[in-house]
Formats: sequence, structure tokens, C-alpha cells
Amino acid sequence: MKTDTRTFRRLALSLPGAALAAAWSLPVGASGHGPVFALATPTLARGAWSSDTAAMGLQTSAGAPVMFRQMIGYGLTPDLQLNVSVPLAPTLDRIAAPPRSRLAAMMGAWGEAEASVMWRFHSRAPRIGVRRESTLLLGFATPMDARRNGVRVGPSVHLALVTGYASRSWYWWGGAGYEYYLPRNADRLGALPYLTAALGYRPAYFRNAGRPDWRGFLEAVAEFPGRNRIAGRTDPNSGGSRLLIGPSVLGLFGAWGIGAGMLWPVTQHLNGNQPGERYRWAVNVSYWF
Amino acid sequence: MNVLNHLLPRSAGLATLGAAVLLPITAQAALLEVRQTVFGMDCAPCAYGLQRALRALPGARAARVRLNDGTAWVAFRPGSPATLEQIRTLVRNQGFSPRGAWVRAEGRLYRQGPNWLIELTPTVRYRAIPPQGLTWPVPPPDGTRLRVEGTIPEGLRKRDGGPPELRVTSFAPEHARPPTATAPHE
Repeated sequence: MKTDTRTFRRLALSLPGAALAAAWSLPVGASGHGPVFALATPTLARGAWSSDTAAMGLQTSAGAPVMFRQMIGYGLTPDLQLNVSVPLAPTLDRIAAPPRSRLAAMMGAWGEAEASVMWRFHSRAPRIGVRRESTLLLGFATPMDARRNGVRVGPSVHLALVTGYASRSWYWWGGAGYEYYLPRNADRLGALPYLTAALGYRPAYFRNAGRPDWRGFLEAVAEFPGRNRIAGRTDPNSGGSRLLIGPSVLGLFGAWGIGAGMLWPVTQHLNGNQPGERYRWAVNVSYWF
Repeated sequence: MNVLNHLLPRSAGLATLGAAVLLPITAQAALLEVRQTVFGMDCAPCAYGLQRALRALPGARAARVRLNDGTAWVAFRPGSPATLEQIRTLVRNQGFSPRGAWVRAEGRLYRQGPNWLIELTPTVRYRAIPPQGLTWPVPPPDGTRLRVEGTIPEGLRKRDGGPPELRVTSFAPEHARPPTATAPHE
């Protein structure tokens, strides 16, 4: 309960982007938004800004780490978006073996500050309320911690590709990503390839004007973290694979949005003595300005 | 719209219409109301952001975006300098795709060679296609000021580089009392 209160306070206090936007009162840029964990193709108007403040965590047999992240996005053009994402309150030192995961795929990995560009290279609007699009995401991350899982952590490059469909009723996205870590001294964190999928639906009640815009998603994330190298040797307690599935919801109100979800592992194969994951969760508050 | 058509004499009276509305060209012609079709909008923030942007157009007095119909509606004060191209640029800047539009505007109808043109501003002209079965009245040398309603297709530039088409569905002398522009009901 005490942890929950502390978590809530940190989330409530960690809305710098939204507070700045409210004070600034700039014209609002529209944005599409999507699932909490999986890759998607959000849109951001030319010259518009977005703020995403998220709390995310997971439960393992070794502990329950929580991470807060803040991401600011800027729409250079409707098809080109720049993002900066930073952890607000790193908690990696609270557990011995933090998970190898990006959690929210578009926001960056544990303990890393990431700058990225999203290029919507394909977009077709065949009729009213329907959009098909594909986006390439390229990011560069730097670790906020010197060591992770006993490994000296180097900077990383993240590349992801996602394609999807958005309409007034149904949504779907399918994506793949790869995060490659550069070596630091003789250590190197294993690469993180992953796949994501999301299927969403907006009930008819929420398609009518004047009502909140709510939709639900079924999300799936498959991660295949590579083995770490410590002092030039492969760490036997690293690497593996996991598949997680679960629901999320997204509510949009004018320039605000809130999303929340949970995933549970369907399968987990982790090498060595790595703690298994029981579930993961995330809450994200968005504002477009 | 049908009321406006009833103001028009259909035969030789059209010629007298042009003479009757000879007015000095003083006031700036302009868009009065636009209903722009938009493809690709799927969510409430999409509509919200576009609506805010449309309301910020110079001379705009009201704007509403309807997701289920895929339309962006804007009403302007007389003399507004806003153009349809500006509206369509706003739609593209939001990440969506503008299609055809219905407009109500005031402009100067005049003949240029074989074409009839309607000029909303010195830089905004359309090739005026009259309603089916009607022909334009013979205008005075400096044109006839009209209030028109019609549709403009998706592309604003024709392949031959000429002005885009405004397919007029009704027109009336500029001084005719206009219908009140109201936001489309949900």
C-alpha cells in the first residue's frame, strides 16, 4: 500500500510536459494513439507537440520494479516525428536482475534515455474514417546506469518497423524491433529482438459524437533477449525468450488521453537463474499541444 | 439552395440578370462556408485538433469536424481572406487526406476566352461550371458579382495548368439575402 501511494505521487508529480502545455495554451495538434505495450503508428500534426508520462512495472520472483518515463514528441511533418524519452525515477538498483525489455515498445528500455525519429513512410486513406499506414522507428539510447545485470552497459541503437490499420471501429498493428547494444570495455548487453501485435476495437456507443472515445486492445509481445557478455565471456544467466498477452484500454478526451494495460506470460524460457516474470503493467497519460 | 435557384430566370432573363446586378468591384470576394470531406480521421483527438486549427483561420467564425461523416465544416465572416487551399493544407498537416469540398462563396463571374471564371480573390479563381441546363448570363465588361454554391473536386490544379473547377449548383446576385450558416447537426 505504501509503495502504491509513493507510485501514485511520483506519477502525479511527473507530468511536466502536460503542465507546460496547459500553461502555454498553444493550438492543439491532433494525434492518433494506440496500444500501451505494442508498436503502433501514432500521428502527430505538423508543428504539434505531445507528452506521454508513463508508469510501468512488472512482478518477478525477485521483486517488483517500477519505472517512470517521460516522452516528448514533436511533429516535424505529419509523417516525421521526433521523440525524446527519459526515465524519471530509475529503480534498477532495487532488484538484482532487471528485465531485458522495453515494456512500452515505443518509449525506450529500462534505465535508458532515448532519442528517436519516427517516419511514416506509407499512409493511405481509402475512405472516411479509415487509414492504413506503416512507420519506421530509429532510436539512439544511452544508459543512465553504469551496470545492469552485472554488465557494463553501452549505448544502443533501436530499429523498429510497424504496419497497421486504423478505423472508426477496428484497429490492428503488427511490428518488429531490434535493439543492439554497443560493447563497453569487454562487456556487452545482449541484443533485444522483439515482435508485437495489437488488435483493437471501439464499441459503437463510443463512435457517436459527444461521447468519450474509448477503445480496447488485445496486445501480444514476444521478446528474445540475447545473451550478455561479461569480460568477454558469455553470461549463462542471460538471454531467453518470452511471450506475453493481455488487454489494454485507451480513453481519449479532447487533447488528453489515458491508457492502461497488463500482460501475462504465456511462455517463458529464461537461461540460468533469471527470475521469471509473473505479469507486467503500464499506465500512460498523454497530452497533445 | 433550391430557393436560390428560384431567383433565376431561365431564358432571356438571364441576360437581364447580369445587367441588373452590375456593381462596382469594391468589396473583397471570399469564401463564406466550406464543408470539406476528409479521409483517414479515426479518433476524437484527430477531430479535436483539426477543429481547433480551422477555428484559427483568419475570418473563421465557427468550425466543426464530424468523424463519422468525415467532414470538416467552417463558416467565415464576409471578406475573410481564407482559401480552400489553406483548409486543405491544414487537413494534410494533421496527417489526413482532403477530398472534394462543398463551398458557398461570393465572387466575380467573368468570361476569359472560351471559359467562364469566378474570382474569389485576385489569386483564387475557379472555372465556373454552371448548373445543368443553365447558361451564364452575359456579364458586363468587369464581370458580375454572384453568391455561388457548388463543389470543388479533390485536386486544385487541372492537368492543363488551368484553374480548378467549381461545379456550381446554385447562384444568386450578391445582394440576395443568404441563408444562415449553421453547423451541421451530429
